[in-house]
Amino acid sequence: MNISISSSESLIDAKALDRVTQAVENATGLPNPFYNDAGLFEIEKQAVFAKNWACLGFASDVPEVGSAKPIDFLGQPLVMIRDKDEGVNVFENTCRHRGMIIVNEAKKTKGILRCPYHSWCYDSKGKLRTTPHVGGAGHNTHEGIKKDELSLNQIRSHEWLGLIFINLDGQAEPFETQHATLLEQWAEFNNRPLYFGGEDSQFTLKVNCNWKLAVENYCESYHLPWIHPGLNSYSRLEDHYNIVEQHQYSGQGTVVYNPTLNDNGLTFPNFDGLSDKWDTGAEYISLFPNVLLGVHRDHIFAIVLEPVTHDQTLEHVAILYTSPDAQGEKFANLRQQNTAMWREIFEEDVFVVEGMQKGRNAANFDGGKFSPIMDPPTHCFHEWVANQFKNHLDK
Amino acid sequence: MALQTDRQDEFQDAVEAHDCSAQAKCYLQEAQSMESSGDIDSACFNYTHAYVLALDAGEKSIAQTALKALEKYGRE
Repeated sequence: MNISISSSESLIDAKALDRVTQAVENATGLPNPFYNDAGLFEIEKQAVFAKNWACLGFASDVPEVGSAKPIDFLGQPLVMIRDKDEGVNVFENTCRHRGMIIVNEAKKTKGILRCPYHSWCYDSKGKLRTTPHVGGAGHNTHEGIKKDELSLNQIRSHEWLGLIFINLDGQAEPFETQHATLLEQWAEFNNRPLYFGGEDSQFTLKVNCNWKLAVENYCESYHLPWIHPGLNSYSRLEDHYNIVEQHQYSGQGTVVYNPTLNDNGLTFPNFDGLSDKWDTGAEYISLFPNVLLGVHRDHIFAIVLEPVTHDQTLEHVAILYTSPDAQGEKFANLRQQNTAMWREIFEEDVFVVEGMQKGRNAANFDGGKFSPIMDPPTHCFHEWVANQFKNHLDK
Repeated sequence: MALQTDRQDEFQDAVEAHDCSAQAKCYLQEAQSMESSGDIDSACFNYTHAYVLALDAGEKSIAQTALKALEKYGRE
């Protein structure tokens, strides 16, 4: 992905980036243009998203073999398809012939992606299967058309925790390497089957803010007693701890997770075999750049942030459960209660992230002063973003 | 497609219904008729459409039949 950025790069104040990467006690936050400048957002697509493992969507978006879903991600037309081996592949959603968009809407295919223009057909692994009439009517070959060289352009992808991650520039370390620390931290949740709650367990919020503000707000617990006062009765600020893994992720955990939802005594089943930590523990992590995760002994949720513009973001939320039982009608009422609970909490955050977006128009705001005690997770993210830009400018 | 009269209605219905399976079947029948009459170019045109639409519709048998014919005439 190559974007003309020379005029926008002048917006990046190298000294300001150095201030961001100071120790939290001395640092200031990312400067305003990182939030309210459209040109800088274009640089960010390359410097932050293309070079890392960005989250594209949910594995449940393509539930069956042959399921295909087009997704425009940062202006890139992509398509996810579950292949005959049940793996998920991501391709550019663009025919190698005339550049036509191949898949216009989510659908169940028979394992073939047929371009609607001249009917060039690709299989679910991207291989070009046939090029009808390419050598004249009824002649489907030509010496100048080498099908082996005309597969769909594949985007490197990886599935983890029910999510599909992509590395647009293809140069990042393998997902398991780049995120080895988190995979170890959450080893008890790795490689478990997860069960999407279905239509009643997903929703999307449209927020008028830069995507980074959603990350920042999610990863810290400092705001909880003020923005989510309902938590104060059972989850005090001091029951939370910071999670900071420099250059990778940050967030917060709680030691008093105690789900109270029940439907006539029915509660969600727990994952089997978890350690004692998770009896009352839960953790909430912003995995950079754009996915917000919550793990509990009885469910997991993910918020995939889709940056639409520099000041608009879609938050795609889905909740996953521990057992296929939880997908059934028996648990429908409980699932709906759980979705409503999380939706209320996430909606309580909307005025905050939108307010910070507006605040970023103040000409004299310097990026903000961090609390050395409460804001290390936020600073960790700012530092990570600043380093992505530094690395980009150094090349 | 210049289909035989008795297949024309069936084909039009399939087109209007966006029924790829039914269209593939019509094209295959037309291709086989053309092949029998010795019009190989027209047959291969129809085999091509039968093949593509059968792939799209997951009609493996039709796709396989059409593909074999196209390969036989060096068209695929």
